[in-house]
Amino acid sequence: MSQTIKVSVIIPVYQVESYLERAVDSVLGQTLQEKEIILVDDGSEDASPAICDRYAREYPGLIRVIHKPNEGLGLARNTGVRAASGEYIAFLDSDDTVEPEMYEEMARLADEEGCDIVMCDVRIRYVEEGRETVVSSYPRREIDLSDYIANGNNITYSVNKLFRRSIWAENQYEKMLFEDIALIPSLMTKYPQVGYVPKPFYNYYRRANTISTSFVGDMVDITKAFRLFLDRCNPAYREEAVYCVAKQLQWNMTKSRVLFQADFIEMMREYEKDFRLNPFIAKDKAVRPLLDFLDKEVIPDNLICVRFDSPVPETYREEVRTDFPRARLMEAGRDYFPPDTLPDTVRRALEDGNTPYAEEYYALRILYEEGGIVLRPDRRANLSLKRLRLNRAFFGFENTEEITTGCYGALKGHYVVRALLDTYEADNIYNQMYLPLADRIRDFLLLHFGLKANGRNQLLRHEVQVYLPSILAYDMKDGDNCCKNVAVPVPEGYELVSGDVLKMWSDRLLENWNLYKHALGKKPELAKPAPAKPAGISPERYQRDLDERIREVVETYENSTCWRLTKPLRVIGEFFRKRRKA
Amino acid sequence: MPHACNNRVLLVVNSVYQLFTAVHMRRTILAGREADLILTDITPALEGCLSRLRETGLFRRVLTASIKEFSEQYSLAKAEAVSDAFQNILPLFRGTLSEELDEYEQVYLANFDLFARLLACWYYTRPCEFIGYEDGFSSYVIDYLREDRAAANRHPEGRKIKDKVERILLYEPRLAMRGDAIPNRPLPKISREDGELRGLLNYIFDYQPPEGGEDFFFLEQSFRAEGIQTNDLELMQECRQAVGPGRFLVKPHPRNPANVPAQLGLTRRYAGDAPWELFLLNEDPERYTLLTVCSNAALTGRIVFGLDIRTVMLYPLFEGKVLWKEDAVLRRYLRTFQRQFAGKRYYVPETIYQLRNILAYLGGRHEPNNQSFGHHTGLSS
Repeated sequence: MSQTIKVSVIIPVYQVESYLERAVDSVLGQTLQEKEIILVDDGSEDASPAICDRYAREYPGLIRVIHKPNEGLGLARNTGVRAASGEYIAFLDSDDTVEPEMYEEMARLADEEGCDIVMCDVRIRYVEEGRETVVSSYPRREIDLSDYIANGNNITYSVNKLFRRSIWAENQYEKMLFEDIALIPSLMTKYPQVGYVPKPFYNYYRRANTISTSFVGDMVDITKAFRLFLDRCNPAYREEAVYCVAKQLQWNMTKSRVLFQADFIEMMREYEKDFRLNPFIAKDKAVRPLLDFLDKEVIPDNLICVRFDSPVPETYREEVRTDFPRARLMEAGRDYFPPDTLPDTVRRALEDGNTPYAEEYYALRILYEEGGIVLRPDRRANLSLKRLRLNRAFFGFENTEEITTGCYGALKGHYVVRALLDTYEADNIYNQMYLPLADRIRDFLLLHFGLKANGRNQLLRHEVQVYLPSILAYDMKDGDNCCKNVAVPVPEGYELVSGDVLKMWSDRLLENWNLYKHALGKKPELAKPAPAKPAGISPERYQRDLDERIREVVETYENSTCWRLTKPLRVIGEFFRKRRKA
Repeated sequence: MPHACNNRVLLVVNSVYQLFTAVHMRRTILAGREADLILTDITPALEGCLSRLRETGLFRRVLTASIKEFSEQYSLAKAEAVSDAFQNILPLFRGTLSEELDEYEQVYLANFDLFARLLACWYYTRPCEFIGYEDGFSSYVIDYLREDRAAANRHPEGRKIKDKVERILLYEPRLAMRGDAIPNRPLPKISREDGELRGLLNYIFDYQPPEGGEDFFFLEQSFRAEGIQTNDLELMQECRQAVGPGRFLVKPHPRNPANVPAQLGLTRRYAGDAPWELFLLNEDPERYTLLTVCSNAALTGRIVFGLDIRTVMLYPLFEGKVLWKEDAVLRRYLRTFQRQFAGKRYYVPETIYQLRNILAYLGGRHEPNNQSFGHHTGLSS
């Protein structure tokens, strides 16, 4: 084919054997004749490469295939751009489709109005739910760029736009997730000749378990994407860009990606001036609450790992890389602190070969100096640990009474950590006996924060969160675990749980069930006696604690949706019971 | 006030600790003086010391006084009873004392009970100086003569003792914080090297060395005698468990009606009624660790002898309604003692876990590397 190429359609391909043909066919069906299709196989391991090759064979001159090792969507698009020869560039995700007139109408508008970028609307098809919705990009055909950046839709999408190819001589995608957000909105601010075809030409198929609907560690890239958007945007439109980011942040932070809230807050604080002084945010009641996040401190994204005498397990590193790719892994060995800065007790412990004691001190001190989360080498964290960064300081129970030192965290310079560090300085019996950090933490929290050593979740004085053992010590498969003990290997499909925690867990289930039944008034006697009274607590205080716990559980049930919804049934039941008695 | 010129003194003794101090005073500040001593029946165990005390010839006369019954009859808290008592001083003395009182230049007493107040009235206009002497905590922190404390303190006769007491002798006057404006003066500390004193006291109290091999002594207090509900038995149990079997012994308080800890199997029976201080005079304190809620006996090693005995004070873990728990002065006293006077081996655990750790360490059962299993075991995946 010797005709001039008007539009190069670039389709990155990765593991999409089920959808690829539909996508390619939708381009083949375009009314625009002067086009080329570039399939960039990004190292797929399914049948996608073969499908690409087949298309290339069947449509020589129209479809080209580039096979390359996997590098991610952005770099695949860059590869396609470099190979493209069209006047305009369009991107299509390989599991989506386009309407037949899309490229013809958009290219025509670009030609007629000399646009650098032309966009259309997006039809979102919710695959599992079987419904669809059209997201209009802008209310009018004529684009007021300032208003569009501030209030328009679909601004971050690459796929609903046609770009003049020359744009790509000076711009390219980053190797990251959310590469669209990092690049496209800033392009909109820099190339103000924007056209708009208000038709839903692009079909975006939204499915569960796609990159946009499930969570992986790399999704923290979204904060980098927002940073790049703000850093790269045309300064003339910075206020609009900040507002645009603010709206997206609000959605992400409160609805779609709450797990990454700490990362978002960290990012916001870097641009605090821009957010606080932004006139659009100031006027927008709905977005203004976002500024409250600026008042919140978050635990720095540091993972502190101290080990002296053996290497940190590779599996530990792998999991950190996977779930916390942007976190700073701070590994500390024996030489991390100069010996003359160590308290006597720690120096003595090192001389005596009490390495764990010294390691605990090192971890605590690094935590104080840098902030972050201490993650011992015999622990494995998962992505959920991120949400604990919203605490000011947090610890977890190892079992009913003991605190774990496998995983805990705090803000930089937190006074609780300072106080714990200070306990190593005194010349007292605790330092003579090398009192483990877990005991120091528990004693400190008991004395100064009213901790109850009962293995339950507690927020102490709005400052220190203490979690139950299933959060930071053992995975009880209730979906809440953030970190677990892997000190002892267990077969695949099994979990390591201490007997004490297992007993506590089953006691609690039974206790809740009994209390629930008790509260219902169906079976007043408890199937099992209450747990044994801890030592050193008077009967009065124990009874008070027990009463409080009963109240808590009853209130939890009574405030639950289930309890409220079933109230009419209970009333009817009661009515019939009374009638029977009568 | 002119003093009697007979160089004669009278000492009133209600407890073994007071007798211990009285003997010490007799040999130090009262050496060379004529001295009578009244042994009351407030502490039943003192009766056993009577004949041996007389045999020592330390005192010109050792009188006895049966004051327990009338102390209960004439409560200091009831104005009417107090009036009755002061109208009958002579008959009360006659019905109480084994012998007639004499004229004295000085009277030494440790408690401001009814008997002491009767004595103050009796000698009020005579040239006889009243001097208080140490009776443990209370001598340091409690203003027994404060008007709002008891009806007797507002009674015209009952309050005469306040005018009479010139000073109070304490082993550590710098610790006093009663706030009653009575001057505090030092009692000489006791030297553990004073073999003669030791021999004398051993004889008076018929001191028997401890039998068992226990090295953790829990000094019980008189909570049960005073009808106060506490968790002291639970604390004993906790301590016993932490130090292990065969090492824990409860020394019962002499005023408690029954040895409940022994009855509950928390300890074997402790033999002997000798004051704790005598134990400290005789035995090697390095071997022992003292445990107590806040018994003064645990502090006297430091206060009386200047010893640094391993001592674990449990008062922060104590639950119960007693004076010291409510009294800010006593708290201040304990704090001051800890900061200014206690040795390096004085421990005040503030949580039950600290107690366990301390006792495990002192008992040689502490494992310093007790992190969660698997850490540094080489089993990490």
